[in-house]
Formats: sequence, structure tokens, C-alpha cells
Amino acid sequence: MDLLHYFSDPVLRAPTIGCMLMGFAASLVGMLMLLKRQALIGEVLSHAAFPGIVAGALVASFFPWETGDLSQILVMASAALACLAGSWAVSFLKVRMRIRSDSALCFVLAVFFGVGVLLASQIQMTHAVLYKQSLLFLYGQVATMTDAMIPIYALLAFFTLAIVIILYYPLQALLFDRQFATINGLRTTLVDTCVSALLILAIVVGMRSIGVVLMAGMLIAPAIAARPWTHRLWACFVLAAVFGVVSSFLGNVVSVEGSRLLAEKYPEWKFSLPTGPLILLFAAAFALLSLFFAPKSGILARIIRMALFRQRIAREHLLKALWRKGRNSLISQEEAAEMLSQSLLIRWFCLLWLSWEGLLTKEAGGLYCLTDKGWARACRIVRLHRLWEVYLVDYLSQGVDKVHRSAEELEHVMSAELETELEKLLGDLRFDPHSQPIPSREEATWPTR
Amino acid sequence: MHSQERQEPAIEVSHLTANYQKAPVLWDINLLIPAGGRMVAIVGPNGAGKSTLLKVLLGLVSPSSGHVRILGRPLEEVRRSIAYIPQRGDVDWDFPITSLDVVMMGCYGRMPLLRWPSKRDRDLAQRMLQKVGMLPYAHRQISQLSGGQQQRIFLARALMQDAEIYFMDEPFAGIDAVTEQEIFHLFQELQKEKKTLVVVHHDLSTVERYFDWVVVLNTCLIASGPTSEVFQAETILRAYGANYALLNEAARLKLYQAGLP
Repeated sequence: MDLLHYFSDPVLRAPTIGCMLMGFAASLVGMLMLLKRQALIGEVLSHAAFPGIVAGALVASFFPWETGDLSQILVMASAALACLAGSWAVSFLKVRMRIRSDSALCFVLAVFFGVGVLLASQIQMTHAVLYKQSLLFLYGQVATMTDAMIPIYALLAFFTLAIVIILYYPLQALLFDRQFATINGLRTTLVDTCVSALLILAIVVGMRSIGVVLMAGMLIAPAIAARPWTHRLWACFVLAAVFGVVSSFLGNVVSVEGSRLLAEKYPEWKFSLPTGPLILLFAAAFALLSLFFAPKSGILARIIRMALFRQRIAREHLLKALWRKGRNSLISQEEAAEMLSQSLLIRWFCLLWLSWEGLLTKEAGGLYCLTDKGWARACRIVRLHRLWEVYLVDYLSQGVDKVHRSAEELEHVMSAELETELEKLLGDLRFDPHSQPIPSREEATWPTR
Repeated sequence: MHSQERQEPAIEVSHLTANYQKAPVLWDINLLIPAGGRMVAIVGPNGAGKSTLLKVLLGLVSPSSGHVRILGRPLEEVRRSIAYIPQRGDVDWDFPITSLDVVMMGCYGRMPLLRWPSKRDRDLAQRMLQKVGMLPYAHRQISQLSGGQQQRIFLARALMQDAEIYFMDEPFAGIDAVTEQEIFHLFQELQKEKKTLVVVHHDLSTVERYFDWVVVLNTCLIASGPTSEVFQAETILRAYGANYALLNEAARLKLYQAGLP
């Protein structure tokens, strides 16, 4: 399969390039909306475009000559006007009528889309062709896209990129800290207007390929996919654009190849894969994968972190148990198993890890023994546990019998800074509230001097 | 000419009345804070309108009547001479931005619309981070910093602005004692450079130690002047007493009847 022919084939190139331009513009604007915490406005304005589309198609039908591409442009323009009206209606409801944002958004979405459906059903009988044409914009129809539209889409996508680059710093300030931007006279109204204009442009570019109903997903999915990977604004934009463009391309390829394959294998089904939904599915898949695999915030990373922590607790418990048995005492695997009361795999992993860290050595006869380093580590854990008990009893006046539980948890999570603070506060102590000796700092430090 | 400008009061408020949505009401406030390095505390009970006053001074809330002059001129003309440290709740902490980027914002006000920050701005931002002891954290995302560290980053941004007047809304709320001391130390340095600091402050016990000018507020202005003269038990009792509840309610009613937003 030659992927390059998607850019050269006279039938395939217009849909492919058109979709990729759509993915590019939509993901940049979607990132803006996500960071502005106004993801829903994209959903509302794309639905608000529908009455504009129908009206535009209707007006185009009055021209006495064959319009073709011109009627496309007319439809785009009147869709943009409808978006503008929708955006104005939302802000009117919010600012003037004091209606809460979510209610205003729902209201405008429903009313505008309803008007669109009403208009469309009116022309269903009188202009059957027009009706079909305007329905194309609901879910998108790329196959009939022509080369003539590509320069227009390219121009609009390029314009989006240019605005994001030119306004990068004011945008950053405005999205992060609106009050700061206002006080500094960063032309917040101008920037806000530009953002709204970009959103409308993205919708107009996208409605032909992905359709107004799915447009909101195309705005937000690449942004969600990009966000967990970086904490730099420019990288967020770059990643979102990459996700948007790649999923548009893949959606196209799978739609064409998949439809061909299905037609060959099951010609009786007459089944074809629509491009718009496929593009969105790819973008959504990227978003899901990101949420799962992203470093730090991803679900997988969290699971690994939790497992590692549990494993560490098990190891430290074993060290403590060995410490209680005394220096140079030897234990067998079975004894370790009793001390740990964990599953076989975790036990085995524990012993392996401790040996690898150089805290345990395996003596003759398969018996395990603490090394000097292991002894120091065990002393430190016991020391933290008992110091924490002292702190709870002496400084927070908690009952002596109640502090063991808290210390049992805290001994594993205490940071070096917290330890230093605790030592500074408590001074040099010998015994804990249960009159047990506290290992000294020297004992608990490795290498010992 | 320059010395003459210095004579203008830092802040001049006359017959200011403000009522912004659910924010506390301000009623007929006349206030004059002289220039020349004052450290001003705005104190008053909850709902007295301290933050509202600050927002009016900064042009974030437009007054229903009256006017504000900063350094003897309307706010629009002196935007570059004022800096603001927001309350912690007013910022999107999840935003993808590093400490250094936040501090860099301090120079955006000076930048023409289509210009990008230069190498010099970047160096300056690093110096400011150094000044607040946060240089090692320059490339951390801001949500990974503690409350005190976040406050220092915002202080560095304000320093970057090189303003004449610094406004702050409860800069000491929710931070540790060490950071509070360090921030206060920076305040003193600013004061030495004859900068004016206006701080909404909730901790009455530290007012006398930190500030040399106090504005006592509860819907209307109760007192304004040097700390030693104004910060007396009798004044504070008046501000925090129940007597002002009536005025507050009456002012709200009046503004509502007048059809103001």
C-alpha cells in the first residue's frame, strides 16, 4: 500500500489534504478552548452553524447559473454568520440576562440546531437536492471534496496558525491569569475576539469533512491527547496539531482501504466506512491512549507507582523484622515468608530486590543475613517510626497507645527534609513513648564513619 | 519635573461607590494615600469590600460613581506603573506553564503587541527568580510548587514589572512563617526604593509590625492614616462591630433600586 498516492491521486488528494487541514486548525483551536476551560462552546457553535448551512444552500439555489464551488463558499460564509450569531446569543444570555454559562450554552445549542432542522425539513419537499446537500454537513462527506476548495482551507488553516503564533504571549497571559492580562492592558477584548474568530474558522473548515455534529470532538480530542505529555504551552499546541493531522490522515486511509476491502470480500453488504467518524475515532483513541500511558498523570503510571510503593513497604517491613531478630541473625526463605505474609511472587521479588540493593546477602545454606548497609537502613526505618511516635505524643498530645498505627504508615513516606525537621524539633532522643530505644543517627546513616 | 511628579499622591479616590454583582458594596469612599514609599494595609472584617476596593483601584471593577487617580493620573495612563499579585484562587494552577514563563509575563505589559520577549527579558526574569530564591525551580510547572513557592513566583513577576505601586490581595494567606518573613523582607527593599505597597491584610496582629499606613474599611471608609495614629482599639472595634451591618444592607438596597448591575 503506497501511502504517498493519497497526496497525488486526483480523486484521493483533495479529501486527504482537506481533512488534514481541518485536523490541524481544529486541534490548535481546541487546545485554546481546553485551556480556556470553554470546551463546550465548540459544541454549541458547531451546532449553531447548521441553520446557516441550510440558509446558505437555499440562497445559492436562487442563482440562475450552475454555482458549484461558489455555492460552497456561500454556505461556508453563511455558516460562519450563524456561528457568530450563536456566539453573540451565548454572551447576551450570560452577560445581559445573567443566565449561568451551562444553561446559556444548552439553550443556544438546542434553539439554533432546532431552527436548522426546521429549515431543512421545509426544503425537503421543494428542494430535495439541497436538502441532501445540507445533510452532508451534519456528519461530513469528504469524497466529493474538490481540488478548488483546498487553497481556501489551506488559507484558513494557515491564518489560524499565524494568529496563534502572533498572539502567543498575550494568549498565554490571558488564559493563565485573566486579571493580570487586563491590568497590564494586554488588549484582552482583542485577543478574546480573535479566539472566537478562530473557533468559527475551525468549524467552517471542518464542517465539510467531519460535519457539525462531530466537530466538537475533533476540537477537543487532540487537545486532551496532547495535554498530559507536557507542561509547556507551545509543546501542547505542537502535539495537539500532530495528533489532529495524524488522526485525519489515518481516518482517510482506513476509510478508503477499509471500504475497498469490504467491497471485495462482502460485495453483497454494500457497506462503506465513513471518513468523518473514523477520523474522530482515531483522535479519541489517541486521547484514551494518552490518558492511559502518560507519564506521572497517566493511569498506568499511577498503577505502577502504587505497586512500587506497596513493594517498598513490604521490603521495609522485612528489614524491620530482621532488625528485631538482631545483628547477624540468619533467616531462611520460609521465615521471611512468615514475616511478610504476602503472596509468593511479592516475597520472591522482595528478597531479590533487597539483595540487588546490597541490603541482604545470601549466606551458605540459602539463609539470608543483613549487610552493614541493610542494618543501617533498618535502623533508619525504626528510628523514623519511633521519632514520629515521640512527636505525636509530646507535641500533639496523642495517646501513647494510639500512635503506633500512624507511625507505621509515616515511616515509609517520610522525606529527608521532613526527617531533618523532625530531628531539629525533637533533639537527640534515646527512647520512644513505649520506652523502646531509638537507634542513633550514626547507626541509621550509611556509610557509617 | 520629576520631583514635582513625586508630589502627586500615590492613590486618590473620591466619592467612590461600587457594587459589582455579588461582591461586597463600597459606599462613598474618599481616600488619599501619599507617595514616597508607604506600606499600606487595607483591613476590615469579611465582606467589608477590601478586595472590591483593590479591584476598583486596578480597573477590574468599574465603579458606579466616583473616580480613581493613580499617581495623579487616570488608570489607563499609568498601567505600566502598577503591579498586582492575585489571590491564590484567581489563577488556573493546572495551566501548562513553568515558573520562568510566569515571571516573564512581567514584561508583557511593556512589549508591543506583535513583539516577542528578548534574551534580555529572559535574563532579567532569571535575576528576579534568584531574588526570591526560586531560581532552582525555574523550569518546574507551577502546580508542582508549594503555596509559599507559588506566592514567591508571583512576587517575582511583580518585581519584573518594575512598577511604582504594588497591589496584593492577602499575600500571606496560606503560606509558612519562613516565606512570610522573606516576602516581608522583599517588601522592605521595595519600600527603600520609594515604591508604594497596598496590601489587603487579614491578620490584625501583624499590622503594626509590617505596615506604616492603615486603611480601615467596612463598606465605607472608617479611617485612613499612619498606623500609629489610626490603628487604635477604638477604630478597629468600630470596623468589626455590628453597627455597619445596617449601612451595608442600606447601601445594597439603594444601588439595587437605582437599577445598577
